[in-house]
Amino acid sequence: MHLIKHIFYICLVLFLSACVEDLAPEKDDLRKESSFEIRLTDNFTVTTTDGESINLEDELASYDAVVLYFTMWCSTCSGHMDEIDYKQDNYPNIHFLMVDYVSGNISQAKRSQRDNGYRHMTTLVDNNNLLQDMFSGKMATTVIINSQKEILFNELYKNKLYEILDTL
Amino acid sequence: MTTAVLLLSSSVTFAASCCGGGSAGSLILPKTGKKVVDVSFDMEHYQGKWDANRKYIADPSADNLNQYRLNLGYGQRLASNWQVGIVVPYIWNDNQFSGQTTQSEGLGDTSLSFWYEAFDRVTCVYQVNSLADLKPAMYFGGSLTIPTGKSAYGDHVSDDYEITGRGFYRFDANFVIEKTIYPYTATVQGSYGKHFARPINQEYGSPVEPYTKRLGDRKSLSASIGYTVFLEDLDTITLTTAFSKLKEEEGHGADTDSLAIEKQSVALTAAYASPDLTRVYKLSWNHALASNDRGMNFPVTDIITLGFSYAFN
Repeated sequence: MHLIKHIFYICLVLFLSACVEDLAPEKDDLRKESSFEIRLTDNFTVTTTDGESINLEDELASYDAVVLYFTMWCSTCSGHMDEIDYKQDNYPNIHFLMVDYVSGNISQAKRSQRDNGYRHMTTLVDNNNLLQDMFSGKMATTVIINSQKEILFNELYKNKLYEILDTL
Repeated sequence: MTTAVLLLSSSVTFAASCCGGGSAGSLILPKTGKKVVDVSFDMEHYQGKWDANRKYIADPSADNLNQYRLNLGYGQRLASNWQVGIVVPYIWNDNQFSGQTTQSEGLGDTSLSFWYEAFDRVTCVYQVNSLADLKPAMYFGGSLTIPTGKSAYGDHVSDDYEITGRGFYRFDANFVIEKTIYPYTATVQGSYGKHFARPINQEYGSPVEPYTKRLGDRKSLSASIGYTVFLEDLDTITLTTAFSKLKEEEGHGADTDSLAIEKQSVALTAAYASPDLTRVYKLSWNHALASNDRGMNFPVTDIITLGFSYAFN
């Protein structure tokens, strides 16, 4: 029985010493100075799950701003998209566009969109990672681009998104 | 918002009356035991979710989301009525969604617990001859969850599918009240947990404006009924059915990342115990009630648990 106990202790030490999360997190601001500067974005054209082309400059000619939300159709993404869906009526001059950056092709993206219940939300298929590269997009990345093509916000989804939209 | 972490679900694996047991997060030694080693393996399969309106949404058929957990536990008696324990999980995530396949693994959140037994001798009886025979076994204790798992706020995670921990310390006050009048056993167990606030300066590997966040208080309550069958050598098989409810209040932070969550589930457990109660084998199925109004902002999952514990008398 001593052997079992020793094996257990060894396993425990190995577990606790391997790749353990930071147990005393700090408050340091890890953002780079450059992330505080307002950048201009290049124009882009991306296809939706319905096969239509969306061109940024054309969109900004019709709307005050465009919001991009990067989804991988996960639970967290669904929660955010539900909230966007609920709130977007408050911003008739903003065009909210979902960005599927994981499916890789239109048919798969369309299937994911339909199966997850978001067929009514315009979804861009970033099959060549154009938007992902332009905005360092990952799960829940949210981008606001105003009519001057300025990137006002490029962070993970949070309430600050709506605070900025309220100022437009 | 909704957290996709399957590990939020805790499988209740009642061992058997008088044999010790507890939940996946904390161990309970049998009254006669001096120490116990417990090993269990959870296989959790995602079936869908409850949304913020308590509506059940089934998982897209093409998706296949799974989490596997190996839980290593050790319990030690410190005094006749006091015991402590530790449970360390190791987690594997195995997910297929939207044409993607992802796999990740890592340590889960560690749990340290202590228990006070408010009874001096085994309370299981074969028949009731006096009021004293009705006295239940009562355990009161606390457990500390240590965020050793990979969370959304650490260095190792870039999306939900890589998470193995919640990233917050939590202290739970726990109780278990159990009464066995053979062949029946009734158990009620519950907990009230408070998360500790922590600073956050990154989410999913992206630096964010630093802020402080605290998840909401967490409550759980579970009731179960068991039936014990004695075998030839006085070893036993106990079948237990349980209903559990888990609720966590809305968290406090700079964003909307922790809404209130809720889950209702049922569990069936079969446990074999040796005559001297030193060896217990467990098989459990925990099923989240996949219908409207049975949960909120939470994954709906099935969990199969295989477990073995050995108590040293």
